[in-house]
Amino acid sequence: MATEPKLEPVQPAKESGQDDYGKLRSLILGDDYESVITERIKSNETDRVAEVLPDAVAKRNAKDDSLSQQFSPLIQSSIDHAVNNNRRQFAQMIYPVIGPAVRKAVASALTEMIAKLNYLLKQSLTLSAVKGRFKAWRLGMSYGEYLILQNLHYQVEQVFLIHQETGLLITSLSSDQVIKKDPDMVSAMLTAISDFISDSFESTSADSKLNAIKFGDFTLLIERGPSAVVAIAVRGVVHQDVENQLQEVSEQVHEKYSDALETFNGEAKGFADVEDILESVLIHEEAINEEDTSVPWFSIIALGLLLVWGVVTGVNNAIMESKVSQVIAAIGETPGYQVLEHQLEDNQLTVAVIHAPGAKSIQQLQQQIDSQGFQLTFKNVLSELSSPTMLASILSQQYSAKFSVETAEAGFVLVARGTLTDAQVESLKSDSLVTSHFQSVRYEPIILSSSIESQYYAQFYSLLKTINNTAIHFDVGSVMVSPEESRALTSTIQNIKALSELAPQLKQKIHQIAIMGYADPLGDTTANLSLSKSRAEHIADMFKANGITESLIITWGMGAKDKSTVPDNLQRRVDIRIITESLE
Amino acid sequence: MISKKVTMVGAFAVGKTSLVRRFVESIFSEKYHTTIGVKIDKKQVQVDQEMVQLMIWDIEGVDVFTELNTTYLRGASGMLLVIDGTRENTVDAAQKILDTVTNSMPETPVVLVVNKCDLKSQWALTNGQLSRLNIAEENIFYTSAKTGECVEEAFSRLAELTLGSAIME
Repeated sequence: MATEPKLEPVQPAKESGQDDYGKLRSLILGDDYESVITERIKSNETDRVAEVLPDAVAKRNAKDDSLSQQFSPLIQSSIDHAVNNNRRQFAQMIYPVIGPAVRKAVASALTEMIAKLNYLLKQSLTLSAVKGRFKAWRLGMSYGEYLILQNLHYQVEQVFLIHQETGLLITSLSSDQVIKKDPDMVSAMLTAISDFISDSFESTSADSKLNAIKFGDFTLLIERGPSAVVAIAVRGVVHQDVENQLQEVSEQVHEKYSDALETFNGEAKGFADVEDILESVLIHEEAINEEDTSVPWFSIIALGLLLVWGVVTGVNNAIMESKVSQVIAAIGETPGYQVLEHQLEDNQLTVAVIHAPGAKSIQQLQQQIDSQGFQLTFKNVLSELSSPTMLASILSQQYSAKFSVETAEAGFVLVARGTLTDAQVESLKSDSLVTSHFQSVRYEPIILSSSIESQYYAQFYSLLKTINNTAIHFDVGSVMVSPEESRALTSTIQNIKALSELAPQLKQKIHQIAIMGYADPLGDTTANLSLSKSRAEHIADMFKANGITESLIITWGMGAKDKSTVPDNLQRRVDIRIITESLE
Repeated sequence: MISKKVTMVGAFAVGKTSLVRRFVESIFSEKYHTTIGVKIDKKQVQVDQEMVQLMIWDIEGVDVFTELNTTYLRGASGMLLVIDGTRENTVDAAQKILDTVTNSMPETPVVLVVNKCDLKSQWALTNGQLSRLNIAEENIFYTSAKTGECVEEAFSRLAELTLGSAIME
């Protein structure tokens, strides 16, 4: 490695020793001294530059971008040169990057095309499209034109010319039939809102100002010029025409009134005839009005006729119904006859009856009954009385229990299930329908005919009734139960426990114990709601503490719900309501 | 008729909005205050033979949490600076606002309103404290939004001043 050249000779000698060496060197080398030094430096120049170049470049770059500027034509020509020399290699290098990008672009274009196609198909194949085509034909235009007109209807309702700097209104115009608020205030507020938005989103550049506000079908378009703002209020779909017109108006105003805008001091004097320019943006486009304004006589007449027909038929039906029920009642009241069903067709009333042996004959009945003008036909099912199944269903209706039939060796056995009282059991034993057709009656084990079980039922329902009628009252603003009321509470708790014990034996299910708290109307609604809820919850806590199943309890705070006629002391209460269901 | 934008600024709860309410009938609800920090009202005032329409930008009160939003001051021809005579520190807030405003718009005329003058018993200001603000005596008004005292006068004075002033950039 080359050694650094020693440059002492060119440096001024600082000490006397070095000065002497200098003199000695010039004595020995004479005039060659300078050239020897230069040659020495040159011989190592490349190495020295190579050593410092990276650092030097970095340093210069940090200072300014003059190096980049100098290099850029060089690099450009190098790239050109490289590409020209070896195109293939370049293609290979960029292929992995270009491939996915192209694929992505193609895919997105395809998706867009499919969406458009779908939309077109939908527009052309639906019922509304068919209607639309018909209407377009009637109006003498192409379907495309019709669609566009259908979708474009708007009205520019108001236009404001606002001084940019102060937010003061220069002038405003509005179309007829528009209810307008004070335009001075609107323009100031608009400026404030615009300032607020620019501030909030820290946008400082001139073109990132608020330029539209949209709410519902209402759009406020704001066109900002250098010294004035033109804002328009548009109702409906904003068409490009409107935006173009707005821009044009803004440009015209700036062109014609640039001096006035510059010197604006709050007075609109310098703005003569500016309304004429603003007027041009107050445009509107109405939707095609295909409403038929003539009176729809046909519909009215048809509707009227339909109404008359409906009323007549209704009245007629009601009369017929009443007549039929009179006939059926008369038959049912005849001893030994029971009506199973009836059917009215035209004027033919067919009645299916069971008649007991020994009762009047059907002919006799037919003569006796006032048929109310119907053609009365009897369908005698007497013969089927021998069918035990039929009998079972009749008995089921009579005794409110379930009966079924089993075949035994010597005939039929009537099987009874459900609830029968002792008296009913006695009556069943002597019922002629039973004795004449069944060998015996068998009671399934679930039958509750004994008087004790009946009593259990009675007790269950009585308890339920008592509990459901319980009200526990409270003092003003209080959640605690007073000593007088605590007796009612204790007995209610006992009743609920008794009910819970009886329920499974009687196949009854307790679904829910609802505790509803109420408050009197004094005080505010929120406080009353909270108080009533606390009352209900307090009672619920007492129930839980006394062993009533927690999962059944639900509490509601109803607030003050009663009629004002109910005395306040009766309104401050908790009601209890139990919902049960028979599982049989 | 000439329209002028004027602003109302001051510390929190000095009674700016109450002063405006005394002075104008408003169509915008005060909820704008809390939403965008400014509420705008207008009032017409007669100055000599001329009617001036003041667009009053009532700007949200300044406190330790809220900086004055100077954007709203842009283009104003006058400013009503409000302080509360019963709270000394509102003078400091006013001083701060003045510094900000005189930086950006040095020639905007200022009317100083010392509000709540009906609460003399709780008065906490001395004349020395007000003189710090360096506002001409004829532009200082002692008002009460409660009784309406001097409110009209303060706004009238502001209207007069706006006529003499050009719009500041």
